[in-house]
Amino acid sequence: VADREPHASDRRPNGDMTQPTRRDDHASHDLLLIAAGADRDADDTTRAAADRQAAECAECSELSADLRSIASGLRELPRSIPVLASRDFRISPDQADRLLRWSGLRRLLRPFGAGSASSLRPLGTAFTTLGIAGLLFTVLLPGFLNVGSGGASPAAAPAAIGAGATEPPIDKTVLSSQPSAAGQAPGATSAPAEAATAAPASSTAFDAFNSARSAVPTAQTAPAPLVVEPPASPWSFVTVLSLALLGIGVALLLLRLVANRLSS
Amino acid sequence: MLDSPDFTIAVRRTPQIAEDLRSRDASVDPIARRDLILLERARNGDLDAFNDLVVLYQDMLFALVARMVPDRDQASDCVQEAFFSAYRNMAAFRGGSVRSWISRIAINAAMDTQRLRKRRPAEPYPELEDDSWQPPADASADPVTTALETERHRALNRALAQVTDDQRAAIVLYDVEGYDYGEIASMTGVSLGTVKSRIHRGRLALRGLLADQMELFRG
Repeated sequence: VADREPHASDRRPNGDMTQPTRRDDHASHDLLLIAAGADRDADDTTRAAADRQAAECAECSELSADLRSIASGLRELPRSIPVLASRDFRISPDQADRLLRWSGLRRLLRPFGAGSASSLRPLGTAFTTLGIAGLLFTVLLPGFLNVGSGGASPAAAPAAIGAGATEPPIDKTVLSSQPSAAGQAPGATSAPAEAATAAPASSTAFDAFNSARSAVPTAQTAPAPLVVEPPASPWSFVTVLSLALLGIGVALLLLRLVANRLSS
Repeated sequence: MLDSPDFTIAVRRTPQIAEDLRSRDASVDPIARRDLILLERARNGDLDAFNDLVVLYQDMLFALVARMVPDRDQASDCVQEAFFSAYRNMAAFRGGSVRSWISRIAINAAMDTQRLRKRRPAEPYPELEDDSWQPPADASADPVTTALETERHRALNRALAQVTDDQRAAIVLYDVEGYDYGEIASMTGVSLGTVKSRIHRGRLALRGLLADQMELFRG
């Protein structure tokens, strides 16, 4: 091998080594076209295209012949098979009475049955989903958020959100009474802090705490009108809307189910 | 006596019933016309007329359904359900072919059964292995030809049991029952293109399944 003469320059494979497209590459052929062409109801265009492809590819030609043979075999299958002798499909008078029961309701619900109102089920599913999502959003989600931040219980959450309160109600009450209390006892709210800072110098910490406690009631017992906001109703607009959507969705699904049962 | 002026020929004066709703084909085809008359009588409360239709179509429906559902008992149940449903919904029949109408109901029952069971037949229908499923052979038929035909039917039924439910329904309706694309589309509730696609893909699948038995069909 080593002493073999190299190829002459004009015989060396120095061109691009491309893979030319082979027209007889069966794997790339449209087999559905062959199947369509072998159909007894195929139109002329499809049949001509399938014949052209079959003429160029031996495997396609064989496939076409096989499909025609299978179709011919299928046409020979018995079109009628005797039922079991023990089975009687005839309807007895009792069965007939039972089958015709609820015929009025069936006639009424027929438009909502299978095939007649195919959009009923997706519509019902969509309404139900929106309703459930709305309820989750308005009832459960605020509760979870409040529990996560150490706030009120889930049941009280909608009221708190509705009132726009992010602080405990007692704080609000105190704050709302501050202007009048400040007028009569100025510095009353800062008394605990002052007492606490003064305590180390004059007395014990216990005494400082007691003096602070006595200062706060003085401010709160002042004759000021308390503004307590009423708790917001849990039946907010979104909640009512969600419940309505849920009801409509479930009703549509039930209607479809009953109509299907009765029409089948 | 026959030329007596008093002699009259009895003629039926009652008009033919159930003519107004019929399509042109139904009025020409005697079988379709017979079916329509029976159905009209059944709609007027004649249960025997409906049972005549049951007797006329039970074998045909059973053959149709038996190729779609796994076993013979299930097929029987489907046919029974189809007749019940047809009786309940007689009032909804709007003319046309009674055979197509009953077939559509049976196909829907079979498809519902298949959907509910959610299972494909793991084995070919055992009943189809039974020779009683084959039509009685002609006395003059060549035994070899008869045996070949029986074998061909078995192979086809076995392969049919392995394609998808939709493809099987489309192939049975088109090739075995001889319905056209439009009728199958209205029976199965899908578009014409979907019917064609199911038939063509189903046939390709059948050819793949029958690859090692194609000699039976090429002869």
